[in-house]
Amino acid sequence: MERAISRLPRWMKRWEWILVILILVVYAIFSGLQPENYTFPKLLNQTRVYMVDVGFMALGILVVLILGDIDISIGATAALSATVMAVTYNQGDGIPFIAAIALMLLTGAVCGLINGLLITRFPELFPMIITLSTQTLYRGIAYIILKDQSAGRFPGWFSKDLGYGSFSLFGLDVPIMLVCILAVLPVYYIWLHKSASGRRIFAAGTNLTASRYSGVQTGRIKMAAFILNGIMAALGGFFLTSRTGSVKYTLATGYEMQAIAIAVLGGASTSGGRGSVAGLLLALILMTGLKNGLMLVYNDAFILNLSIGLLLILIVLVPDIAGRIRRQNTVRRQRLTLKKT
Amino acid sequence: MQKEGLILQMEGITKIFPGIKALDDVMLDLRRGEIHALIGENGAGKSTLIKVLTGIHQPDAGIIRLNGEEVEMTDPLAARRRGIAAIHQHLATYPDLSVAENIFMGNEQTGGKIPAISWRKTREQAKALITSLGSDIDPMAEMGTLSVAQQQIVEIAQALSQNAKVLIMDEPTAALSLRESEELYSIVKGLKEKGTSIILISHRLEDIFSLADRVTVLRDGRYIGTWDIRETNSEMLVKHMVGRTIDQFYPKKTAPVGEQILKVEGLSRTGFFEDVSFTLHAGEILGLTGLVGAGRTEVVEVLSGVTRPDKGRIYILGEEKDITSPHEALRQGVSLLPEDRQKQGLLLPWSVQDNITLPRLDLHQKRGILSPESEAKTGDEYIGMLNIKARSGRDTAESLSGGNQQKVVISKLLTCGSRIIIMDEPTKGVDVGSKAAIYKIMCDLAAEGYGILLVSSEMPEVLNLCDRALVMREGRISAVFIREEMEPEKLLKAAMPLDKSRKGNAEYA
Ligand SMILES: Nc1ncnc2c1ncn2[C@@H]1O[C@H](COP(=O)(O)OP(=O)(O)OP(=O)(O)O)[C@@H](O)[C@H]1O
Ligand SMILES: [Mg+2]
Repeated sequence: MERAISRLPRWMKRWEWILVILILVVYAIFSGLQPENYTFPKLLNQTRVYMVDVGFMALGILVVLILGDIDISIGATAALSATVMAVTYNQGDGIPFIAAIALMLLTGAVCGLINGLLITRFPELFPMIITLSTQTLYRGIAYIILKDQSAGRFPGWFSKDLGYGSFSLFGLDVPIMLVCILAVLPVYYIWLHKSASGRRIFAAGTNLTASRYSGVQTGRIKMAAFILNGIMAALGGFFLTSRTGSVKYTLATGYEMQAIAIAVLGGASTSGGRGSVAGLLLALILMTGLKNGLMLVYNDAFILNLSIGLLLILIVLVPDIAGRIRRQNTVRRQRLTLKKT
Repeated sequence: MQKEGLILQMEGITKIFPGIKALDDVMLDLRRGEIHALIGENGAGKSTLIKVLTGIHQPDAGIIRLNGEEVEMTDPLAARRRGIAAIHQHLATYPDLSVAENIFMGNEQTGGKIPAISWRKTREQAKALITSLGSDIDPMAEMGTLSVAQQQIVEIAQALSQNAKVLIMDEPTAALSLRESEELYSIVKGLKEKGTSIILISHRLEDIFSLADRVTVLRDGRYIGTWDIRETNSEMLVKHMVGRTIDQFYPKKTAPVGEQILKVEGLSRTGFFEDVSFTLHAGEILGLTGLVGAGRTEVVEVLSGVTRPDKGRIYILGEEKDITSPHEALRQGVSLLPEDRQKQGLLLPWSVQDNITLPRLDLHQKRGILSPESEAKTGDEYIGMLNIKARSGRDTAESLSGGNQQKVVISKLLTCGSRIIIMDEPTKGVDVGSKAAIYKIMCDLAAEGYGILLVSSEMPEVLNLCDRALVMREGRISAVFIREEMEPEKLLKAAMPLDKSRKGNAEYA
C-alpha cells in the first residue's frame, strides 16, 4: 500500500485529492442515510448558509495564514462593518445604500489596517494576542453603536434577491450569493498561485528574511494582506446580513474559527508558506456536505459543532501521524537490512 | 576483525535519497588520535556520510564499528552517548540563548539538593571549557551576538562537554579568515594531542596538508581511496576529486577599470562601523577583507538596504541615493549575495528554479501571469552554468549539498542584472572546480562593465582577483592597496587588531 502510494505521480499525492475523496465519502454516507432529504438540489440551496459568508472570510484569512500570521478579529470586523452599513443606511434620512456598502468595506479595511500596523510595528507581540484584543475592541464599538438593539430594514434586492434569491440553471435553483463567491474564486486562484505578487506572498511566509534580502517588500505585503483580510471579513458580514436581514453586535460570533478551520482544512498551515485556493473551495464543499448531513441526522446545533470539531482535529492530524508512522517504518526496515549485511 | 588502533570503522555504507544514490559502498576508518581529512566535490556525499555516522540519517546498507564493536546509530543522541560529536556544515545553535546554555543544551547540569538546573554550575563549567580552548568568550553572552568563529568555538566546547572521543568538523573554516582558521586549528591540534580522533571536511587543501595525517577522497558518492598525507600532493588530490586536472584556477583579469559607479562617504552605523569611505568603478573587482567581525558584512548590508546607516552618503552613478530597503537597492542596481545562505539566501523548501527567479519575477511574467516555461529555462540555464548538482530545477533547495546551495544563491544574484554586485564570501563551501567557474564569471562580469565588491576572508582570492583591496579593522578601513602593492603580510598586518598587532607581528613576519 505504502509503496503504491509513493509510486503515484506527484499531482495525485496532493492534499486536494484527499479532500475530494472525503467529499464523496460524506455524500455517499448521508445520501444513504437520508435519501429523501440529502439530495444535490437541496444541498445546493443550503450552500447559502454554509459556503458564502464563511467562504469570503476564509479567503481573507488564507492570505494571512500563508504569511505565517493569524487574525482572530475577523468575526468582530464583520460585525462592526455590518453595523456601520446598517446604521448609516437607517439613521435619519440615511445615505444611499451603495454609499453604506462603501463605508462598510472601508470599515473592514480600517480594522485590517489597525491589525496590520500593530502586528508589523510590534513584532515581539504575538498576532494571536494582538487580534484577540482588537476583536474585543471592534465588537465593543459595535456594541456602543447598537447597544442591544438590532438594525434592520434594507433594500429589497439585498435581503430578498441576494439573501434568498436564486436563478435557474439546467433545472437547478442556484443561489445568487453562491455565484458571487464562485466568481471571486478563479480570480483569487490566479492571483495567489499564478502571479508574481502571489508568489511573493508565499515567499514571505516561507522565509521572511530571505525574501526581504531578495527584494520582496515584506512589510508592505503584510499590511496589504491584513487590509484585504479586513475587507473580506466585511464582505462575509455583508452576505451574512443579507441572510439574517438584520444586524446585532453579536453578528458572526465564532466565524473566525470556522474560517480558519476551512483554510487549514484546505491545506494552509499556521506556520506559514502553505495554502491553496482549490483546497479551500473543496474544504468549503466538504463542510457544507457534512454540516447539512449532521443537521439532518441529529437536528442539534450542539452535536453538529462537536462533531465538526472532532473531525477537524482528526483530519488535520491524520497527515501528520501518517508521516510519522511512515518514517518509523523506514527506519525499522533499514535496521533490518543493516542486520542482514 | 578489528585492526589495532582503529577507533572507528565504516564499511559498505550506502545511502539512497529519492532518485539519488548519495553514498555507494563507502568506507572510512579512523585511527585513535589522528586527524583524518575527508574531501570531495560539492555533492560528493561527505556531509551525508557524517550524518549517517551521527545517526541523523539511517544508512540503507553498511556497518559501523566503534572500538571493533558493531553499533547502530539510531538517532543523534545514541551517537552522542557513544562519544561521537559533530559540528555540522550549517551551524545549529540557538541564537537567543546564552553561550553556556548552548553548550549544555540537552545535557543540563543539575546540582545541589534540588533536582533543577544549576545555573552557577552551568556557567562555571562553560567558562572552564572555553578557557581550555584558549578563548575568552563570555559564557553569558547571547549566542547570536558572537561571530561565526566564536560560535564554532562554542560548538567545539559543546562537543568536549560530552567527552567526545571522535570529533567531526564539516567545513569549520568555510567562513573564517586565515587568522581565525589558525586559531581554530591550533585548538584542533591540541585535541589531537589529548587523544581525540578528528574527521575534518574542508575544501581548503592548504589546511589539509598542514593538519591531516591521512586523507580520504569521495567522488559522486563513491569511495576513491585513502592516502597518507605525505604520499600525496595537491594536483593528485584534485585529480582524484574532480576526475580531471584544473589548469587555470584564477583567470587572468583583463577588464580595464572605467567610470566610477559607486561612491561611499563617511558611512557610519554606531557600534558596527565608523567613517567608511571608498569608491567602486565599472569593470573593477574591489576586495573588502579583514577579520570576521571587523564590520565588513555590516557595511555591505547598509549598501544593499538591509539596514540603515546613522551617518554618511551613498552615491550611485554620481547621484546621491537613499537606499531604504533591499527592494530599493535592487531598483538602484545594487544586489547582495548574503553571508548566510540558509537563513538569508534561500527558501529551503522551495525548488531550485523558484529560488533563482524570486528576485526578478518581473522577467517571467506574461500578461501578469508567471510563465513556468520561462522559469524552468532560467533555472536550467544556471544549473548548467554553475554546474549545480541537482536532478532538475524542481529539486528542493534543502535536498542539495551545502556547496550546491551556495551556487543557487549565486545564481539568484546573477539573475538580478544589477550594475553593482556585492558578494559576501561567495565561494564559501564551494569545491575547487566550481570556484574556478565562479571566478571566471566574476571576471567576465567585470569585463562587461559591472562593478564587483568582494567581501572575502580567503587571502588568495583577494590577491589574485582584486584590482584594489580595502582592509577593515575594528569597524574602520585601515588600509587600501592597489594590486601591485598587495602582499599577504601587509594585508594581515592591516587587519590585525591594534593591541594585538604588535605582538602578532612576529608570528606573521
Ligand atoms: N535530504 C536530502 N534529500 C535528497 N537528496 C539529498 C539530501 N541530502 C543530500 N542529498 C543529496 O546527496 C548528495 C550528497 O550530498 P552531501 O551533502 O553529502 O554532499 P557534500 O559532499 O557534503 O557536498 P558539499 O561540499 O557541497 O557540502 C547530493 O547530491 C545531494 O543533493
Ligand atoms: Mg556538505
